[in-house]
Amino acid sequence: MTVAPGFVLAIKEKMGALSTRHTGPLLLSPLLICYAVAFIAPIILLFLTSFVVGRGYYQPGESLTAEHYLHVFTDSFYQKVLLNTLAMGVYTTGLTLLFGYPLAYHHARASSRAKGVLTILVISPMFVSLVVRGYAWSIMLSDHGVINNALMWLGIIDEPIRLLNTMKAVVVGMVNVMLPFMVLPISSGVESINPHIEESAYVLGAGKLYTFFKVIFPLSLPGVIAGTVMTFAITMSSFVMPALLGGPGFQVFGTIIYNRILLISNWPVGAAMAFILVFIVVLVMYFQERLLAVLTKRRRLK
Amino acid sequence: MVMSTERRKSSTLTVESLTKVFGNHTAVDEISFQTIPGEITAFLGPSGCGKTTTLRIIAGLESPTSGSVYIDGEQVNNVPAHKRDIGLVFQDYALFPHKTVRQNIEFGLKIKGLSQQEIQERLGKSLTQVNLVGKEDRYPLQLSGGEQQRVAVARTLVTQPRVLLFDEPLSNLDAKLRESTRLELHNLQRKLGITSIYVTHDQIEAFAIADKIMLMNKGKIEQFGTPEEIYASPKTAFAADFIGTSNILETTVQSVNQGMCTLALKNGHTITGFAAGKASEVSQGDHLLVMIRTQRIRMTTTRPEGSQLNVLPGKCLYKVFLGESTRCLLDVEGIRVTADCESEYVCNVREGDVHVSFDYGAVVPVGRG
Repeated sequence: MTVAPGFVLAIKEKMGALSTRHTGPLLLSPLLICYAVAFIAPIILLFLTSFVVGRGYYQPGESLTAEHYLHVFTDSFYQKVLLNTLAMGVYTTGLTLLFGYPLAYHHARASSRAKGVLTILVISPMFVSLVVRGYAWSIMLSDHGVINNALMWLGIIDEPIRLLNTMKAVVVGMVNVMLPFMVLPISSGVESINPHIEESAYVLGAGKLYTFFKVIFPLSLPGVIAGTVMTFAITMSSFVMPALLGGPGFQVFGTIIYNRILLISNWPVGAAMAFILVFIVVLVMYFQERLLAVLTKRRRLK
Repeated sequence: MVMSTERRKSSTLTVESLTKVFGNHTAVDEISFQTIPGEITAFLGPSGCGKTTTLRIIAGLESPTSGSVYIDGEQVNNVPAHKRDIGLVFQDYALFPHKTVRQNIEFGLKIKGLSQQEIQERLGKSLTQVNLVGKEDRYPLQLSGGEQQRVAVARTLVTQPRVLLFDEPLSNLDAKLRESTRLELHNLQRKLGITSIYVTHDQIEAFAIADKIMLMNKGKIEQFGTPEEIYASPKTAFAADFIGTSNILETTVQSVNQGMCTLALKNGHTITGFAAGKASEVSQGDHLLVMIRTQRIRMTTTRPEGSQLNVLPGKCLYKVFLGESTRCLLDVEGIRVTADCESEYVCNVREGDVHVSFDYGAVVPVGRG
């Protein structure tokens, strides 16, 4: 029996269609399955747990309540923790932006060789474990640590100021952690500004400061917004630095969620707090999206 | 400083032994020149010849390794770019993308601290000047390339700079627009009488717009003069080669007689040329490079008659029809010569043996061999 050539062609065509249309999802599926089982399912479970009556985690058929959310928003202890968390996020983001921008600017405008070195310097703290960095800062910031001793030796203060277990210490540690996340997006934002635009401003009579505030900074805003939102989101949900440097004196959502779920086994409250945190971050990201759209929309092609 | 709206006296730009070294590369090498007030001087040369670097030093965006820049006799080496009172139009326009046309043009005026009335007056005048009335609230990205270019010019002109610098301002426009914009620019510059520098690698553009050409190569000035001078009597082989299309031949001087040189070519033939004022400088036995423009070489099947005409035997290797002219590659007994002949005269010339002829006057000495 001979096979009709048309039949062979049809099979080849089918194979071709398969290779282009179906291999993508096929190749993705192992990872997607892992995600579904190990990440998405637990999140759904945790979300349901935040509505459970009592202290355990969710089991099918249980009655649900929103009382944990209400409790977090109305109880003065949780309100204080929420304020702490927001303050930590705002201060860290502000200071990281302040310290990160000049660095990012120089990084963006550096020669390619200098840029390589700067990039490594900027991301090098990430090579050291967060816990190690946390303990290092706790030594520096303790009552008789390097910073207090130096200040006393210089005669600026008479007795040690309390840094450890306050927000100051946590913010210092967090700025150190967040710097690369701020510098790199801003740098790429600045890099996308044509250097001739900056030079045009100078030649038109604008000094360095005027050029910065009227030309460079506005044009780098997409990078600034990306860096700021990333820093804020990661800081808000941070755990290690607040745990090591804030201690019992300065508690934030991250440390309290850990405490509720792992130490005192109050699953629903911890879960509710986690989702409040997620909600805040999603909200901030939404506003970032809106802001970017407004910023760039009007100058695009009509 | 309050600026008057009246046209000011044109400025003089002087550059004295300007040198710029980047690492171990000398981008600008001992350049000196002076512009005549109100004129356009074109910096012409291949890419990497140092023309843009020279421009950037004049603008104050780059500091010279040595040498000085003077504007109206005042040394400006230590005056930062934003206080030099000059204008600069970039090839990529470099408009502020986050500002409207109006805000772009007002930028320089606001810094000068002019009154709102004066700003509005100048803005209106400038928008009319560059034909952008009605587009003042657009953003740069909403404009065509030509319009963006005009905004860049307007933004610079409203500040009434002492010296206007153009860095290949037409390179990003398409060919047709380039010509009309060039004309507009030229007229505008004439009207305002602002001393200008115009950087370009395009010889036609430089010739069309400039009063003077500064031809540059490898950081040095090859020749400074009017376009006519540079075209008719290039001083160096580079100038002869870069400007127009020409043949450069190596010759040996056989005899000099009343300003007329008999030159031996490498293939043994001799040609005659005027030494054009260089007669006293050359003597028998000298090696001389001479230039012959491709347009001045004729190719005929019959031997041409005429006085003061060099006639050489040659072979036409091939012809390229270019429309009005036909480019012919000729072999003159071992020497390759290119000729641009009027198409109607060479259309019946077959590839093969021909007579190659050119006037004595077409032989221009351009340097020592």
